[in-house]
Amino acid sequence: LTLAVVLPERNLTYPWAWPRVGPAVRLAAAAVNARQDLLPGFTLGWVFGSSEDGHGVCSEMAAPLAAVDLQLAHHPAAFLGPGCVYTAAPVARFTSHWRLPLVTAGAEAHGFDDKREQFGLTTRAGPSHRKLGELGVQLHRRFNWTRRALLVYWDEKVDDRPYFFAAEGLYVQLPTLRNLTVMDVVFRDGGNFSFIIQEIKQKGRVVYVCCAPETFRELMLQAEREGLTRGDYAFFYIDIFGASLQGGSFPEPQRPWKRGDRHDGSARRAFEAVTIITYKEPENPEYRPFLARLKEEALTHFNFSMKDGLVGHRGGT
Amino acid sequence: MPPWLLGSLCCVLAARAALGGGPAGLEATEEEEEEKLIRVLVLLPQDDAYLFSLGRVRPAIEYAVRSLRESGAGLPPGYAFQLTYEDSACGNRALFSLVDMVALQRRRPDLLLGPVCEYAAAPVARLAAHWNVPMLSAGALAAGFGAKGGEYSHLTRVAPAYAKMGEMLLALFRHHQWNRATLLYSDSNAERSCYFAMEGVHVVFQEEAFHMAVHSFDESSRHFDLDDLVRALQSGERVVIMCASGDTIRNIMLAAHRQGMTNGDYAFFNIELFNSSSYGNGSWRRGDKHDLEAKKAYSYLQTVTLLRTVKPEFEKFSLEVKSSAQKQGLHEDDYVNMFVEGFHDAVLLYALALQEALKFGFSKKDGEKIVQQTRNRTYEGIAGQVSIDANGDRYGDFSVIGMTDPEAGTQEVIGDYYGKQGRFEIRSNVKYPWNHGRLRLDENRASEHPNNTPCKSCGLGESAVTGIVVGALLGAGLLMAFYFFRKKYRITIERRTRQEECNMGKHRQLREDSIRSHFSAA
Repeated sequence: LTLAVVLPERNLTYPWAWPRVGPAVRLAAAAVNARQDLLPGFTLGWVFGSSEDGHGVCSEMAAPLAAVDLQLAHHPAAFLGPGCVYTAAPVARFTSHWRLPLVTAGAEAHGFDDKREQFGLTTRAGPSHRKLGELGVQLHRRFNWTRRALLVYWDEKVDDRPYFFAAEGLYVQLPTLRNLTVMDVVFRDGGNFSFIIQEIKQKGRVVYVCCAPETFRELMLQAEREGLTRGDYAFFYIDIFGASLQGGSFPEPQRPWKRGDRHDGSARRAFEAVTIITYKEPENPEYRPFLARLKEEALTHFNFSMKDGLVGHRGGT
Repeated sequence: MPPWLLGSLCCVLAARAALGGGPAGLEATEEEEEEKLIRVLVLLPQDDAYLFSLGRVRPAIEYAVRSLRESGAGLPPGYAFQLTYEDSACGNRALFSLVDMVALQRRRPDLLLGPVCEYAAAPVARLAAHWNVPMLSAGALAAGFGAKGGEYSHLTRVAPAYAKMGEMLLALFRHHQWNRATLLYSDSNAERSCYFAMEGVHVVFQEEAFHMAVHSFDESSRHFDLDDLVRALQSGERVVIMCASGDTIRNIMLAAHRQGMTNGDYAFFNIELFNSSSYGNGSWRRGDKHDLEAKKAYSYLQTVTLLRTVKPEFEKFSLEVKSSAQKQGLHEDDYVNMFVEGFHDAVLLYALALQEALKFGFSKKDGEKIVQQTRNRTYEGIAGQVSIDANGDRYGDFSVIGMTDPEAGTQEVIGDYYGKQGRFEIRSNVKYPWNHGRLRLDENRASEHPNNTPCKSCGLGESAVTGIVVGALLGAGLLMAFYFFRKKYRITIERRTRQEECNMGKHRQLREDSIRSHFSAA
């Protein structure tokens, strides 16, 4: 049985880049083949096609071509990936046309929820933003916030728009609470944050922010100067892969506000009003040894040293 | 050597030769045949609601293939076409059909014809570039397909893209020395042809920094109000460019005529897209009671169409296409439009390009070389000359039809635009309806049209304001006069009473006389 893998070949800015996911696929295939009870009579193999275009970014034009080439050459039984949202959609339409299952740990956008037609055979083994939205709903129920929520997100429209899609998850799910109004503010590079601070003051007490960690720190510093962080506003930072918590894992304390510059003090104060939402790192006993073997595998076969943190561990899924 | 040994040796050798030559010889001819068989995949919608449906275009393609075969010199010797038609459904279906066909036959097509719809053509064009297959289409007209550097490198467009229409209108505007326009279009059907056509114009005009007012409407919606639309036009620019179905254009012109807009203050242009009668040929005649009014209204309407050359070959082609289409159950006003002609010409273009490529020693497999040969080429198509530019896009040749005789209502071609030369030419043998070929519109003057519209939300009317002002002036004047006279009058009375108080009775008459005389003096 052949698995066709369509993922970015080299670009490590994606959590599902091949140097990260490759070792995991190797380990998984070896594990399946070693066991007699899983797929008796079959051997699992895999072939790879890159979803990157000439510029090295995941591309909705290059990925379908790779998928078609793999399909015609190897007749795979199933597809693995892509992870980027705009890239996964056309590949999923193809696999659905070919009646082949597609499994991905990415493609978290809300659009993939509709399994009636083109995404009927698509399975998402990783997290999806609808679930993030459901978490938001639970938070609101817990704290009895029933009036308003504000979504602030960065969107330059030139990449795969991860922050937009994360905000979309909340945007779609939060209104399921009755009488809750959800408003959104979008921003991009080049502006100062005073406009956003104005919007925050006008539109919300409960604020969800999706953007890069550096940008978030800048925003919070500005908010601190304007006095928003004294307890009147609740800030939630959506950091799916814990990019801002790079300080490793327990027991090393994580300091998302620390950069080693002179603003550290104000940043620390500002972050007192912030709650960071990330994916939960697995705590089961098999996880640590698995990570160790993953790192070995990456080094030997992919010439890649895996970092710690959820981004590194994304490959595990 | 004994003769029987020689004989058997000969026989063995002959047998070996025959056996050796047999299968090898067969293989050689099969391969040759395979090399000379051009496999064409045609991707167009099955649904006849589209102007470029399989039912309409298929007869044209088959006509082209037949005429190439019959002419003898059309295709290189031994070459033949094998055509496969698949439903593109104006969407992803086109891409799937292509991939499925390749998966099934384990080989790629040698030529792709179509799709036309933008969203169907794009992924097919990318796959064509990836697999080195030439792609020719009379569609894919949107601006994005002009970028032939990467993903669309194997696409050649045999019909003028929307941007070419924009260039033509730019030349027309330069001729009349205009730089402002209203763009009016209908955005009713799924393909949004009028929208994309106007986009072509908008992009070109924007580069020249022309000022534009843009209005769109949905002619099939219940809330479509013609009078509102015409009022919007009145507050816009003097030159109006429109794209909508023929009947809607006529209704708009009738409404504009009733509002007095068709007397030389405005210039109207109608885009007849794809040379299809469904967009109207600019004719005012319908055989209904509004004909006379329409005739007057259309005196300031000019229609932009694709240039038509009258050829006997074209008549024959038209008739054949019509009879084939009718056999399939299609009953229309016209059967030949830009797409039908385009796909016919695409087949001719491929044959030409293939011949050139073969001369250089390439084969049908060298897609890139064949595509190169389709660029920068001029040849005779079924409806006139076809010129493809160096970028793989067809130069657009257009005609402008106007009313040359307002009495009789005759409409004929008054000017042509040749895309390759970029030149707009007025036809010399035709009387131009507007003065000296250039309509002078005072674009800065506020439009003064007879005020037929009731003033819905006026405050005080003009006359009321005038009345109040005059009244106030008069009143003020009277008051001033009264005050002035009163002052004089009072002085007179006071003086008299002081001096002749006791002699009031005696001097009454005298005093009154004095007063009277003073008053009259005053």
